[in-house]
Amino acid sequence: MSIELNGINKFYGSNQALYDITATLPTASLTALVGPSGSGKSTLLRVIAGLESMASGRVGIEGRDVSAVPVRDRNIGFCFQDYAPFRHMTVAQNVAYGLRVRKVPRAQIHQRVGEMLERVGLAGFDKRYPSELSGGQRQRMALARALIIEPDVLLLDEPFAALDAQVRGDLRTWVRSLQRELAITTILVTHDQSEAMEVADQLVVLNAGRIEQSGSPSELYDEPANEFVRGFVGPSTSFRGERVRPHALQLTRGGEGEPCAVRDVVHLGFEVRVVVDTNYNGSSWVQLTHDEAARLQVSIGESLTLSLRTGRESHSRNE
Amino acid sequence: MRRWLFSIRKLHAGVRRHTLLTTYITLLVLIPLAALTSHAFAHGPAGFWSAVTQPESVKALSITMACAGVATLINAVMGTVIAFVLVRDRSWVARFLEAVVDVPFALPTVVAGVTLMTLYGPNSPLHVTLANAWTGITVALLFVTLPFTVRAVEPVLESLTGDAEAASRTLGASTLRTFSSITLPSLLPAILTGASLSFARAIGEFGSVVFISGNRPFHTEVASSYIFMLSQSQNFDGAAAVSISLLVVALVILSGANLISKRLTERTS
Amino acid sequence: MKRLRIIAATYLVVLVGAPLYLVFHETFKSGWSAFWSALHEPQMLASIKLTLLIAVVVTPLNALFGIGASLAIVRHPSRWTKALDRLIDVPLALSPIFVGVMLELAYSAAGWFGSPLAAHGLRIMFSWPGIAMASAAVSLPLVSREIIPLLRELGETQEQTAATLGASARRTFFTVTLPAMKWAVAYGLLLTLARVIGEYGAVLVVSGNVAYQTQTLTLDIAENFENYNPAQGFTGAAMLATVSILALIILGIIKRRERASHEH
Repeated sequence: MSIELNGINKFYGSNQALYDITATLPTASLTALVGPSGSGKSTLLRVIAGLESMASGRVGIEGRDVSAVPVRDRNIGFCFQDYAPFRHMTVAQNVAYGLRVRKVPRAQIHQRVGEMLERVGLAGFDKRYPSELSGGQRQRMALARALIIEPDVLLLDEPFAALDAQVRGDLRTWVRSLQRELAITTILVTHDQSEAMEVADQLVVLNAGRIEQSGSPSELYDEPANEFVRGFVGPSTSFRGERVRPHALQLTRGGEGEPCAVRDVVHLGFEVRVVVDTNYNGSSWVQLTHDEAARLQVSIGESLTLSLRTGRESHSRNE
Repeated sequence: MRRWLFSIRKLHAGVRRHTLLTTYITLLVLIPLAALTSHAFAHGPAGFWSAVTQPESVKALSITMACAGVATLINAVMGTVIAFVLVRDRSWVARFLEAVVDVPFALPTVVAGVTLMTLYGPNSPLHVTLANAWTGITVALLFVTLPFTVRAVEPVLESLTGDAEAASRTLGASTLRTFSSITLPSLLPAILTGASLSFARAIGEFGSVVFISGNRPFHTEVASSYIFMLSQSQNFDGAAAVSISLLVVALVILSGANLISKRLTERTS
Repeated sequence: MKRLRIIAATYLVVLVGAPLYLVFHETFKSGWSAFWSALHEPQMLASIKLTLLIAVVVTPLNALFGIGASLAIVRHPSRWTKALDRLIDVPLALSPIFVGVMLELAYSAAGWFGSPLAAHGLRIMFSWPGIAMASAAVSLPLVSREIIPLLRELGETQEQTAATLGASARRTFFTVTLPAMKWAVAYGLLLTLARVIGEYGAVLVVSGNVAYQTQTLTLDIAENFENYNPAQGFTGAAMLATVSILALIILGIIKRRERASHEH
């Protein structure tokens, strides 16, 4: 088991930022720490890196207890949200930094930097300065700089937050495939649950300094441990007083279920949202596919029947 | 009590970590300040008060304040005008002025002093004699405090996009009205900051003033000259007392202006 | 705008341009040979030598202090560094005469530490170490005031990245922090140098103003004026004016470089 976190507590003055964090992150997996801002996800990442101290607890990397090991000896790769490029160094000098610190022979540095730049798609950019790169290129440079020292773990703090939507999507896919290719244990912090679901093998949902739940994206989506997780990992609506996923509901003309009146229909391309009023508990909304909506020919003001789709356990037991 | 001890211990740890820094600033600032304060109050608060209220001292302090006040007011207005030209005017004139504005910051005060004395002294090539009069003192203070308001107002003026001014003009306001009701209020905190820095600098000014003022006690002797004179005649307690009173005035002005400009900024943002 | 431009230009020409012109006019009005011999006047040469000595001693010390203090204040904040932050700026609110008098009261023979220092044969006031202390005190904040805002703006992520890559604190400082703030350091250094060379009031109080011994260039200029020898005085004044104009030009270049490196 690659990264083991055991009973980590962290304080800022008298405020507790992390409460008894315990988790195991398997080797070569990509784990996303997700949660709203202030949930402690970045703090946890910095504790794992050794950039923050902890009041109590243990951090293990590849079976080695690094709790008392200073940052520089932890052998980790860390990428900051702003990529922290060394602005006065060229791309090649940036990437070579960790190797020069390790006193790797010059010829070998040259060769490995060349290979790494090739791998991240920055071949030919070696003599440029970070200011001459785009956001996405800077991000690749930061990754190359972190990866060249062959770290045991790669830690990414909000790696895509500073990029525009188009580049963000491309880089997500790229980072995911690079991580698989190198089989490097990776932890990524993000506030964006859809990003986390898209790239991660495993999610750890944090809220107010505590782990709410961890597991695979589908576990969290289908069997959220509580309302917070349900609300955080995807949309929810109510049916007969219970919270359910909007796509777990269906609309029919007649049949078993709750009579309802269509208040609004919103077309979002593939997805169509139908907002309905029921006698039971006010309004709900239903997620239909474009085809389903077309088949039903739903129109505003019309009376339909609202029921749970069958054949799939889509709502969790609720107390 | 325990908490207090704890904080003292923490303070000690901090000080130990920065031994060299602490030593340097202690030798250059802390010990001298302590020595000066102890001299100022060597004969208790009464002694301090009597030194400050000596007729010559009162006169020197009031001449200093008056000239510093006039110079500060003039430069608050002129500094704003100059900043306006530097930011909004793109001609070569503005670029030339830009280079000249900082000269008083860089030029040694003694050079300014002897030059102003020659320029406005008894043999003035301009046939304007301001030496040995409060006007001469004020001109010297105008010179040394010139950059303060300009440099304080300039960045704020640069950050104004002009949208609000344009909006005001589309609503039919005249240029003057637009300036006084839109531009000026957002510049006011910066003007105030610049003016307070000018005043603090002016009341302590020595090199540029001492030649043109003539140093006549009760007439053209400014506070810093008076302090120098006291220290030369070995009246250290008096020198220290007047120094402290000057420092208090500077600190009150600086922190007061800081407070007001913060309030103004809060209100307008 | 046109009217404002004329007002601003007139004000600056009268207030700054006229004195600046006068310095050089007075210096060269008796011709180049007079200027040349004035340049070689032995008392002035001695005072220039002292001024340079003070500058060479004080500027590096203040630079080291400024860099160290800025790092302590920004990177290791504590109650103590907060106090340090306030204390550094104190000399800016003080009259140079005030600074001189307070140093005299602390270190002269009549001052707090006068007799213990004298017992060890150390004479600080009315000799060059006193002049150096006065110059250092008045220019104390000039380096840190340039660096502190820059360090705050840079943030810690570059330094922390270097740490994760295995760099020691020392290596991080020399390869990451210092290169990032080199222009700000250069700017602060030049400001310090200009201030030290041009200081008058504080030095006047602590030096004793003895020709060939404790007289700096600024004191020499003043003495020449008091002794009705303005030609000699203006020669010194023109030198200082030239130095300060050069400093301004270089400062302008540094500012532009710094701005360019910020756009990276």
